[in-house]
Amino acid sequence: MGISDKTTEETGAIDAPSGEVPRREPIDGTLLTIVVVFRIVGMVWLTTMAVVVLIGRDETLNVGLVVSAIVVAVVWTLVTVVIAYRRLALLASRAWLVVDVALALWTAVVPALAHSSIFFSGGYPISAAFIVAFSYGFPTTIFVSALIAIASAGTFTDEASPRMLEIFALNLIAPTVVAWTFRVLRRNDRLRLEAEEALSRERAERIRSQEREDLAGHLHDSVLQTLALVQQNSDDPHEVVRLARLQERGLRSWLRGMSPYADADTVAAALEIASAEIEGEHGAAIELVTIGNRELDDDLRALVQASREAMLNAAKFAPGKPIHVVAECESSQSRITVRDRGPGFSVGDIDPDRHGVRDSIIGRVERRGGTVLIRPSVSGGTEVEMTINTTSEGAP
Amino acid sequence: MSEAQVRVFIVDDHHLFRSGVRREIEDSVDIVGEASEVEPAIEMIRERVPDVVLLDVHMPGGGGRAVLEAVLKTHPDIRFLALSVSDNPEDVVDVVQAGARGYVTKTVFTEELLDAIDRVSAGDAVFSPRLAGFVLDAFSSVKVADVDTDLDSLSDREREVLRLIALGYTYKETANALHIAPKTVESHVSSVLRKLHLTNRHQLARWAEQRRLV
Repeated sequence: MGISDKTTEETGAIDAPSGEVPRREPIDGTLLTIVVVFRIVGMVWLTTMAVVVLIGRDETLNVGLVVSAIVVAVVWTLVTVVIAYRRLALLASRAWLVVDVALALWTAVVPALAHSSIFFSGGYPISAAFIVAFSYGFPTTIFVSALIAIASAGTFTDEASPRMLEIFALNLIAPTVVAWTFRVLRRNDRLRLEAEEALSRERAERIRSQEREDLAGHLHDSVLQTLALVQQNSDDPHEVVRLARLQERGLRSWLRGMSPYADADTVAAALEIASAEIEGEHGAAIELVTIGNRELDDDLRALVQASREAMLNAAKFAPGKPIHVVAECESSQSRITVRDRGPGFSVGDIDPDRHGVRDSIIGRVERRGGTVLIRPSVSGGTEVEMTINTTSEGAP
Repeated sequence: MSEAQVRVFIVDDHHLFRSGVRREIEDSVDIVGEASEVEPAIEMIRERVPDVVLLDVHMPGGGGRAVLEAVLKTHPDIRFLALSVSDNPEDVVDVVQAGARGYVTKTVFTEELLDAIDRVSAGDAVFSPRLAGFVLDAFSSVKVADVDTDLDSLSDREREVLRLIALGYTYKETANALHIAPKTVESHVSSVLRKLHLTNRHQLARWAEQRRLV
């Protein structure tokens, strides 16, 4: 039976016992069930017929041998079921092949040895050939089924009738057909899997090339546009800086996968968007630093809105000077500080007609129970410090 | 700072940027060489022993960190100033932790860059607002339970100093705001830098990774 290993590799049906579940194709599960179910059917078939033989026995019948066939069939079928679903790798081992086939041959020759008038082996011996067809290739299957056919038909000569020829042919042909069918099914299954893999590879490739096209499109639209604008405005350094900053922000957030148009759901993201907008609209240079981060809730949305107003204010009253924004999100409070280097102002100076600072910054934050501190900064300019108390929830 | 010009070496893989920086600062410092790749950079720096290396953090072949580690092993007195277009916290914190004395972004103004070079050559630390923010963020996100020595945490004063730097204050302005001497600000910043060098690298890497997702 030296060919068995080789054929195993050829058909790719089952690996040598390695502990791993050797199923390669999904269809193997179905095929395994078929051969195991057939073994059970063969066992029931043998037992039923053997019991019939025992009931109608004459003196010549060797009861012990008949009972031994029943015991072998029942016990070994149980073993088969356990092995098939617990240690499938064993089914492909040589030890299994030898023991299983030997026991099947035993059940095939018992009717003759026990002087039974009926060939009661039923479907049990052939079930071994089916298992071989599952685990091994063609040649082993033919070899084993020939052994079983000879053992069944050759030894049982009681009534050398055409029926014995039928049994012989059936035992030889059925496992061969089954082995061939298994092979075809497996090959189809493998081809189907390969086709599916190729399809998903192709799909992934298409998505990647779509992304590349998006990137190219983005670069074309935004970067080339900006470069054209820079050339047109080359005599206006402020405009050039504004365009460059705008483009830089856009590229950075785009590369980071954060679309500037996406809905912001954290303090950091919302501030990023707000500062980019103000840079774009007013040509300010905003240096944003965020320390910690939190998911936005209504309070924090108000805080971000207020700091947006503070940035706007700074951009209007200190044009061309850098604006620094620091957002600190801690567990108990969130604070955003906006600092400009403009001429500086105090709340008292604010024209009551202008609701900008009072309503849009102070009012917004205080309505949410927060505080706003506006003070001149040591370097000249103004510092607006907005603080809101937060609960410990919402920290990302 | 002596009268002699600071000797500067530039490492950057962008030719355009190297020549731009060179043009901006060559009147004020002595540029002793430039390199665009990791291996030649290490060799030339060891050969010419500049005072300050302007180092791009993001370079093929191991990046700025590889240059830093190799050079500092043989020439611990050479100072590095990281200069990068990347404000990715991973890159920035990585080189600062590997021994850079400071970090400025490439959009820095010429005077600020020259000032930073002077400071670094004098042995001081240079924190840009962004780096100050990164450090505050990193140290505040390290869990209290993980802190076993005061090396892993910042003092209140250090936090205050960093916060003002993050707001764009110069060292002098920071000193004025806190009513302390500029030298004291320097020493706070240097001490933060030392803590950054000594702190657990994996914690920082974890922080940078999380931060990146924001």
